[in-house]
Amino acid sequence: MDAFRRIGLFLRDLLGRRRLDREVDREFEFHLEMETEQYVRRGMSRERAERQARRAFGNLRRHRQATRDARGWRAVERTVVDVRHALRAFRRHPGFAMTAVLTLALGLGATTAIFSVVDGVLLRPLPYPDGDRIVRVGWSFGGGGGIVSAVSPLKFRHVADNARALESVATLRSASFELGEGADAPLVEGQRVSPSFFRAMGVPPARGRAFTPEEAETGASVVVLSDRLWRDRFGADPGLPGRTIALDGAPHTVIGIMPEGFRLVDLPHAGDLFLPFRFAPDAEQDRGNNYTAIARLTPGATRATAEAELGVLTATFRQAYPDRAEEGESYALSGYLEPYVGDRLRTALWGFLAGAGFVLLIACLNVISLFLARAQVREREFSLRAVLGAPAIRLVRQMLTESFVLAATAAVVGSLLAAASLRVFLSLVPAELPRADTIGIDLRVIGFTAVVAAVSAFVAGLPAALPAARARLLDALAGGRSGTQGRHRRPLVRRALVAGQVATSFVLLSGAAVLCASLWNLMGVDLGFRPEGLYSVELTRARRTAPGDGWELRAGEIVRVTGDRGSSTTEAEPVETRLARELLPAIEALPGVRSAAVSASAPLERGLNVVATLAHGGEEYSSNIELRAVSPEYFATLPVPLAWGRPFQDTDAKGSEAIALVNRALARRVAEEARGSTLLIGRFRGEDLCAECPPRRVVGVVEDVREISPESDVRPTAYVPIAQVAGRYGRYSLPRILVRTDGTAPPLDAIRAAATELGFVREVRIHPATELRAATLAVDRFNAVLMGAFAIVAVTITAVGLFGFLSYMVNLRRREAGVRLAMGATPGEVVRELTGSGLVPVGTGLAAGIALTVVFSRLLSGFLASQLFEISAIDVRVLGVTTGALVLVALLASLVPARRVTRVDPAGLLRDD
Amino acid sequence: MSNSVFLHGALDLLILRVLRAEPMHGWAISQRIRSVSRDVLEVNQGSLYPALHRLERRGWIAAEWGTSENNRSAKFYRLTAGGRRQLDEQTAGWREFSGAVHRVLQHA
Repeated sequence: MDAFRRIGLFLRDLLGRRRLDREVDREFEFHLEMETEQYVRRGMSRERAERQARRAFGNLRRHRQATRDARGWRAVERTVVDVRHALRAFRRHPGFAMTAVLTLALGLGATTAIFSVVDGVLLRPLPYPDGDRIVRVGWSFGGGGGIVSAVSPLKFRHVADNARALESVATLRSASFELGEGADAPLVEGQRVSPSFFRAMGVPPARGRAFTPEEAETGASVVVLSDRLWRDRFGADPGLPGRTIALDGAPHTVIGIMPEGFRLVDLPHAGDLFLPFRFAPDAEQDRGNNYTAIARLTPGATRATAEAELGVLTATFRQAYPDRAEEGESYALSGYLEPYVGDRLRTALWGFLAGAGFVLLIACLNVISLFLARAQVREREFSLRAVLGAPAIRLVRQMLTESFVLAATAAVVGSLLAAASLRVFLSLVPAELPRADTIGIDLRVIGFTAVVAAVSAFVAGLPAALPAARARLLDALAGGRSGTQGRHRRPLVRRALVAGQVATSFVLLSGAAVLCASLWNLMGVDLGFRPEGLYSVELTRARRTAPGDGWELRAGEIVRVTGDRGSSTTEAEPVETRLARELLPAIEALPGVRSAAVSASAPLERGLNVVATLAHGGEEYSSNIELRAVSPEYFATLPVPLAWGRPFQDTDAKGSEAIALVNRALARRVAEEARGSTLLIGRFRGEDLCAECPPRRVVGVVEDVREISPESDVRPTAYVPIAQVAGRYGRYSLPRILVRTDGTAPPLDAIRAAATELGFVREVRIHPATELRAATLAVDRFNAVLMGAFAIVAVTITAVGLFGFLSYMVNLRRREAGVRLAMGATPGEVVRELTGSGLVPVGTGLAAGIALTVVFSRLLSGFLASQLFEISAIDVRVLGVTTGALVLVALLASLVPARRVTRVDPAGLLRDD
Repeated sequence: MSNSVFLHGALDLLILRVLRAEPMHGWAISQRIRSVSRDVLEVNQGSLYPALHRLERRGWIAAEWGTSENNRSAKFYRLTAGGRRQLDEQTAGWREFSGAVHRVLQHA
C-alpha cells in the first residue's frame, strides 16, 4: 500500500515536474506573505517587513533546490536529460543507431522467440493446482535410461493399494464416442478415467460432481463433460447435469461439468468427455503394460521419497508375482509431462536457447565495437566536459543511458520480430511438442526479454563507457587528433571483438552445417521400399448408427446391427477379412492402382511390439520384436522382396496352418537362412505368456526394410497373415489400407468413395508415404532450419561488424596509404597490406572457432549423439566448409573498404595535414 | 545560531510533533516551533521546506492545498498513520539520547 502510494507520488512528480515547481514557489510566496504581514502588524513599514521576511527565510534559490532534491527529482531529471541527449545523438548518427538497434533486435528477437517456446513447453507450471506434484508412474525395462512404458493392471493396483507417498493413483485411456443420435452424430474425444482422476489433477467438476468409486466399479453410465462441450453443444444449459445424453447410442447421465479452461495438456483435443474406467477382469490383459498411471504426491512427500518407495514396491511386486517382472525392471517416476517431451526434444530446445544466446553475444560484441568507434570520435567532447567539471560518473552514466535506450528500442523491435517469426516457427515445430498451442509472447516472456535486454545494454555499453571516465585534460588539449594512447588501445580491443564474433559465428555455422548434413544423410537413407507412389489409407473407427440399421465395431469384428438396439445381430465378421474381401478388389480395380494390401499397422508409423521367441534346431532366441499382421498383397505393394520361401496366400486363413515370415534381421539371430525354424509369439525365455498364440512355421525370410523410420535401425520383424490373427489386433482401431500406384495421378477420391461405400467407415484420410517419411524427420528438419537461421543471422551480424572494423582500419591508415601511393606503390599492394592486416583477427577468430567447436562437441557429445545421424560432431568436411564460408564472407566485407583505399588522393591527404 | 547545530537533527521530530494536533501550513509550523520553544529554537525558515517535502516523500506526512485563516490558498500538512508511529519511535529515541547527554554533563 505504502509502496504503491510512493510510486504514485514519484510518477506524479515525474509527469508534473513543472507544475510541482510552481507549487513550491507558491508555497514559498505564501510563507513570505504571512511573515511580512506579521512584521507589518508589529508596526514595520511594508518595505522593511518584506526585507526582514526574506532575511528570516534565507537563500530562496538554495531552499528551492534543496526542496526539489528532497523529492528525489535530481535523479529523475538527470535521467530525462540523459535520455534526451541520447536520442539527439542517435538522430545525428542514424546509421550508427539503426545498425546497433537492428543488430541487438536480431539477437534479442531470437532469444525471445526461443525462450517463449522453452518456457511454454518446459518451464511453465502445469495449469493445475500444485501441478508440479502430479506425477506419472511407469515401468522401466532396463534400469536407468531404458525404455519406460505404462503399467499393467496388476502393477497399477500394486501401487494404488500400497504407495503411501502417492495418493489418488488414477488411470486414463482415450476413447471416442458418437454424441447424440442419427447419421451425422459427431465423434467426440474423451477419456475413461478412474474416479480418483479428478483428485489427482486437483480439479473437481465446477458443476455437479465426479464419479463415486461404486459407479466406477459397476461401470455406471455416467459422464462428466468439458466446459467447452457443454457450451458448444448444449448452449451452456445449467439444467444439463442430471439429464441424459446418448453416447454411442446408449443413454448416459450427465453428472458434472468441468471448470472452464480445464484440459489435458498432453491431449488437448481428447478431453471433452470423462467416463468411469474400470479394469476388465481379464487375466490376459495383465500382460500388457498399457495403462497410464498418474498420481499426486501425498502432502509432505517429495519426488525423492516417492521414488524410494517405488523401489521398495518394485521388490514387493517381484516377490508377489515373480513371473511378471524381469530382473532389472522397476517402477519409474516422472513428471506429468516429461514422457511427452522426449529427451531429444528437451535437449534440442535447451541447445537452441544456447544458440540464440550466441547470436545475442555476437550482437553485443558488434554493439560494443560500434560504441568504441563512436567513443573515439567523441573523446574530445568528453575530455572537454571533464575539464569543464562534469564528474566522471556523469559521463559513464550518459554512455550507459545511450546503450540502455538502444537496448530498449531493440527489445521492442526484437519482441515484434519474435512474435512475427513465432508463427512460422510453430508451423515447423514437430507435432509431438506438447502445449505448443499455449506458446506466445506474454508477460513472462516480456519480463525475460527486459532482463536480457538490460544485461545486454550493460555488456554493450560498459566497455566504451569506462574509458570515458578517464578522459583527460591532456587529451582535450592534444588538438586536432584524439589522444595517441586511445589510438593504440582501441584497435586491439576491436580486433579481439572481431575475432570473438568470428569464433562464435563459426560455432553456430558449423553446428548448423552438421545438423544439415545429418538431415541430408537421413533423407538419403534407403528405406528398402519406395515411398513414392505409396499411399497409406487411414480409416477412422466404424460408424455406429443406432438404432435400426447400422454397423458396429465390436472387439475387432464388424457387426451389422439390425432391428432394435440390443436385439439379434447378424453378419459378424472380422474387420480385417471384410476389408480384404470387399475393399481391396474395389481399389485394385481403379485405374492407376498396381496393388493394395491390408495391414494392421502402416509403415513409417508406429507398429506393434510383442515378445516372441524364434526356435531353430535346439536353439531359442527371445526378444521384443515388431509384429506386422498383413494381407498377402503387402509384400508386392511396399514392396518387400522375399529372400527365400513363399509369400502369404489367400488360403492362409483362420483354421489353416499357422505360418509367419521373418526379416533377415530376425533370422540372423538364429541362422543365416533360418530354414525350418518356428516363431512363438508371446513366448519369452522359455515361458509362454499367450495361451492362444499357436507356434508358427517360418515359411520364408524377407529382406530388411526400414518400416519404422529412416533413423532407427532395422528391427527384428515378423509378419503374420492378417486373416489368421483377425480380430486380435484391430481391437482399438481399424487396420490401414496400403495402395501402390503406377506413378500417374493417384485416384484418391475414388479410393475414398470406395471406402465410404463400405458403410461402416466414418472418415477416410489418405497419407502419401512420402509425407509420412517427412513427418518422421520433423525433429531433424526443425533442428536444421532453426540452427541454420541462427547461423545466417550470426554471420550477417559478423559481416556487418567486420565491415565496420575494416572501414575503420582503412580510415586510420589512410594517411599512410596516401604516402605510399605517392611514393609509387601500386594500389594493389597497398590494398593487400591494409586489408591483409585487417583480416588477421578473422584468422584468429577462425582458429578459436575451430577450437571452441571441438571443445563444445566434446562437452556435449551425449546431446549431439542424440541429434545427429551418421555424422560426427567434428567432421573435417564440415569444418572445412564452415571455414571457407566465413573466409568468403570476410573477403566480401573487406571489398568496399579496400576500394576506398585505392581512391585515396595522396595530394589531397598531404594538403589536409 | 549556536543552537542550529542541535536543531538540524531534531527538525524532523519537531515537525512531526507539531503536526500531531492538527494539519498546518509551513509558516504556521515554523511559528509554532518558535513560540512553544520560547524563541530558543528558531528555524531558518526556508530550511523547513526541504524537510517537509522529504517527510512527505517518506510517507510520514501528507500534503493538501486548502484555505488559510486569512482566506488564502496554502499547502497544509497532516500526520499520517506511519508518521504517528515514527513520531513515537523518534520521541522515545530522543528522550533516551538527551537523557544520556544530560547525565554525562552532570556526572562526568
